[in-house]
Amino acid sequence: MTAPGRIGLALLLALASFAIVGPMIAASPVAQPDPLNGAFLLPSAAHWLGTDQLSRDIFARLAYGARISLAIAAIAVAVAAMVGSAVGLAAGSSTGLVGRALQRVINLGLALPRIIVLLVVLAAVGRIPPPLLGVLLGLTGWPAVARLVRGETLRLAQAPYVDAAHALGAPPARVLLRDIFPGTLPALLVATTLGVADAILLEAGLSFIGVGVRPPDPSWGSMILEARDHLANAPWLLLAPCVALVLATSAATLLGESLRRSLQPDTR
Amino acid sequence: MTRRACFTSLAAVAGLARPAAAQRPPLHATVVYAVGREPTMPIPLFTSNAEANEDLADQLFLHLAVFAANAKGATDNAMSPALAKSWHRIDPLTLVFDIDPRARWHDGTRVNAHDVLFTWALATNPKVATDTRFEPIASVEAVGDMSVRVRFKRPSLEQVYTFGFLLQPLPAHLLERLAPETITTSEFARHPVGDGPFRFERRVAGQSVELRADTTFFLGRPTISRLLFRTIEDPSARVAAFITGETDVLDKIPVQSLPQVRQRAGGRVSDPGSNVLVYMLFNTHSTADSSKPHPIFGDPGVREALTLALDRPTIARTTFGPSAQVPDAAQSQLWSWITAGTVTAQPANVARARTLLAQAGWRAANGDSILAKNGAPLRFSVLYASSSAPNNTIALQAQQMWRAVGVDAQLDRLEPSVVGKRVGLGQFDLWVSRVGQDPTPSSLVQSWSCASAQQPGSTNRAHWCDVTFDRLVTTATTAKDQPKAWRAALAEMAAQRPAIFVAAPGNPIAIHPRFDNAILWPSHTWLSLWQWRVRPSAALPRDQ
Amino acid sequence: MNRWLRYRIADAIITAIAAVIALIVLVRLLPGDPLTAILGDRGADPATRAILEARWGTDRTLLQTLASFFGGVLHGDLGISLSEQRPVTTVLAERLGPTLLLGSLTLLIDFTIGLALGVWAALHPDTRRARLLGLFTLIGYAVPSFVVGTLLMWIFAVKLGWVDSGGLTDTLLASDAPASAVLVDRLKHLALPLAAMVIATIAVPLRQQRTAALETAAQPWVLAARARGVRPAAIAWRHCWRPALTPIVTLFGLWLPMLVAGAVFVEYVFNWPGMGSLLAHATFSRDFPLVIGAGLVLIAFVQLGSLLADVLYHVVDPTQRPS
Repeated sequence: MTAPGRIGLALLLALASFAIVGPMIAASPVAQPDPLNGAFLLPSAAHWLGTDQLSRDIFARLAYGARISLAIAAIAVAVAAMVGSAVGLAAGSSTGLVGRALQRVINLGLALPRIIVLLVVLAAVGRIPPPLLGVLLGLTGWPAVARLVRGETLRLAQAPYVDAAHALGAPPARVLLRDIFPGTLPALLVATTLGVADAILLEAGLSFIGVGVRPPDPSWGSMILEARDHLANAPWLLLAPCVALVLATSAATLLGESLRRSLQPDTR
Repeated sequence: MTRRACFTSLAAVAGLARPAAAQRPPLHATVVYAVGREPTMPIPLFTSNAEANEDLADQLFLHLAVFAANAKGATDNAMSPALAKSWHRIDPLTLVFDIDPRARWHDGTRVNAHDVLFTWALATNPKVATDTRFEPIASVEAVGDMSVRVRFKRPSLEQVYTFGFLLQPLPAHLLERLAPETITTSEFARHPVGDGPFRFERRVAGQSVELRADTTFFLGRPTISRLLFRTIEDPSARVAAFITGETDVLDKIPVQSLPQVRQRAGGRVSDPGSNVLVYMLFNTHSTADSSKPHPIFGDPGVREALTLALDRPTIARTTFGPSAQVPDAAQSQLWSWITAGTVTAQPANVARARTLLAQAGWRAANGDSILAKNGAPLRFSVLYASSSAPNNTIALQAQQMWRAVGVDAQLDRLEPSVVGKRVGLGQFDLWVSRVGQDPTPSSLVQSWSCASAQQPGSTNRAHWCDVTFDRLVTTATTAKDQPKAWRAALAEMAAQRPAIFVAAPGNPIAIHPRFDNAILWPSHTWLSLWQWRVRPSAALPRDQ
Repeated sequence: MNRWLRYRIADAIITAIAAVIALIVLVRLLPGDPLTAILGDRGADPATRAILEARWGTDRTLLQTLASFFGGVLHGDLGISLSEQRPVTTVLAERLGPTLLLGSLTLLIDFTIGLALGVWAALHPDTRRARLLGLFTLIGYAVPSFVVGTLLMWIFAVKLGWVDSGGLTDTLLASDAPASAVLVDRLKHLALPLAAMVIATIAVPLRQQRTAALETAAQPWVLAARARGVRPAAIAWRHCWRPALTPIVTLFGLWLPMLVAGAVFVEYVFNWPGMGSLLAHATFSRDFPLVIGAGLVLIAFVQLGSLLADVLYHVVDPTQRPS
């Protein structure tokens, strides 16, 4: 693995441990000790990153926000990877009617703009628990994965070792799961890692326009949304969630690019 | 014509007026005003209740009568002439309005009684609009070419307001040949022709609407020659546009931006008072079966406890700034004359809140911090529209304060249209609502009377009905001592607690320092905008 | 090739129709109704509601909606916008111009300066300046565009006063203003949204180009060219850039829809009257005809993009013949 890749991996692990450990040592992310006089405090021993407009502890919100934002992103890419690879494998391995029908479904999924679907659904249902938001992001993100896996499946179906497996009389389903599926994994891993960055940004954007994570739960996106209103009088409120967001997305991008270089030296 | 604003804005104007400077106004004094939603339909009766549309319509179309200086409420002696040059009373049920013979539509046609009649027919056409505020009017007919006789169903102190202010005549000669339901898609809707101080110049979609002064306006040539309504959706972008000088006036100023805005405006921030009232409405009926009481809010003691558990002054001030007041009934600052100029409320009392909840049977159960009764936790949802930042601040603070007394409030921040639908169907526990009140408290019947509780589709969303309150309101509409009579009605509402009244916010408005005579009104804020003046020495390039 | 192209176009059209149907079904299935959104707090009695529903077609069944929509499409009619009370096509036409302006300039800069910087970074892989560039683009990509936009606005419009804080043009500018004044006005309004868009997007083509160029730079034919003494600039152009073109073309096709919907957040911040802000507004006010109309345009651009990418793909790499 390259040096940037190692940095990315280390950063991701650090953020993940922050998301696990941070909330254990932090104050309550929703408590408002003194909204009239305790708002907009600068960092101090009591509040490591200061307080926001409702006197809530920013460090606590950042820590719980890490848990929520990262969990949503993880669920989103996991769902997209599972659905996408299942559909992609099936579409790539069957040349008949099923295969063509599945390819149509994938194309349809790619043709529906994700932002419209998310806006329409989220604006209407409103209250949505973070894990479900992750699932929804995954369910709108799978077609891209499916296209990738289908392409890989088609490519691997021509590979000599697959031919050999068929010649040895292995049943098609077994060949698909034992021989072809593992071959698609490197591409899937790369796409998934890069997808983490996208999912984090998308959640932030949706929370920013007020249809994502529900208050009082913090997410990095909703923290940015609230901090933006106070740019004039308390610009530092933006700093913490933005830095967290930059670290997470850069880490995922660096790791993904590095994985691609080491796992798929022949493509792209 | 003498119009003056109430109290504070008047003081601000008097302090800054410079008589010598106002002699020769620059040729193109311009006011740029940023609104949050694009005014796409600034036609009275068709404004679909959007604020920017109504504000724009006020510049284009005259009312027959407007408010006099220091008007308290909307009684007949509080009204002053506008499109009508005068009115006289025939008997307690009949009024005759005489239209000013100098009034002209912007295409040069005279305004006459036929226009008023035509507009009245539209206003009562169910295909166009249903405004229950016209309910007291029995009939309208022309008397000659320039007068209309209006008959009312019963005596009241607000007959001039009910017809003369609420009805803004439209030009019959341009609209008569259109089917009423096609007016909103007609050429007239794209390019309205009115009779007000400003004429419609053009709309640049998504950006702005431009009005030009009608230099022949019969009440005097406007001292502002151009008025631009710019659409800027993002509240912090609106603040930025005022600070950079791209816009001239700023209302709905976010609390946290007040110091900066004040500095930019050179101290010119006046607060004419506001007609806005923010409250959390209790649904006293079960969401599953509306014939049954709500399992939590059906109990008045619980409603009182939930109110007392909230430190409402803190919520109001963190959300709306220091000028926000807190009422105990549906009373915005616009109606502060009822209670001697200020709106006040019972203070928070957490200990009493706990006692009341315990008395109602809600007790701490097996170590859980949330109270419970018969195994059911004290949990309800707070429904509010995602479009408004104040809603969120209010709900977040209330949630924490309730948590401290063992109440679990779940926040449902939804898109406005979904909120509207749910509220209409009675699918809510507690709803954070914001209304702009009419100039007169007699409008309370629209949302808080037994009659409106029966009427489908009315704004009495919780179907609240209290016979005593209805009787007190009816008494007040004809009472000699208006403040006293309305105090009694509001006290009854406060005792019954149909809602938690969270705030009667003020309405700080920042104005660019170059304007003189900048009169603001508590409701229909910009009615006198055409009489503002720019000091020539301070004129900007856009005023030249 | 011609047959393939015809097949590909038919495929794109069918996919687009299916996507529009899916969108209509989705929009109709969800709660919230336009009447409530339009009428606001004042409400209306049931009789008025019924009349308005009939007039605006909100009482139709799903099948009726589909039939009337596609019947209208054939005549170039997408219905009447509920919130604007004007034909959807008129509203869309007004918004398409500003969006295309912002989107096309963003794409232009991304795929010229972005690619050039990518090649430059590949040619100077271990210099401090290249690392700095890498860091900046990574941050630009990772910070959401609405944050970049807000920061730019407060620095350059509010604090420094160099440019306007938002809008498309100064609508108060006299209609007979000299062309130079009009141009300056345009630029003053365009600068910040464009900068925000470019900062948020340029990292992707830049990094992709850099990676591709680095990889091809290690190929034997590049080493051979270098050994032959070919000038570095010629190597960069002929040997490194050309072979790296395929993924760039794919990316370009994928990004073409950004022309119309890539700037939802930036348009909101800068009050840019484009398709993105229209889409958000239409969704929130439950303006079904407008949501579907805007969706149609967006879906069309998605199909156009992938079609264009496929065609360019074959132009760039003639060995990849379609099956």
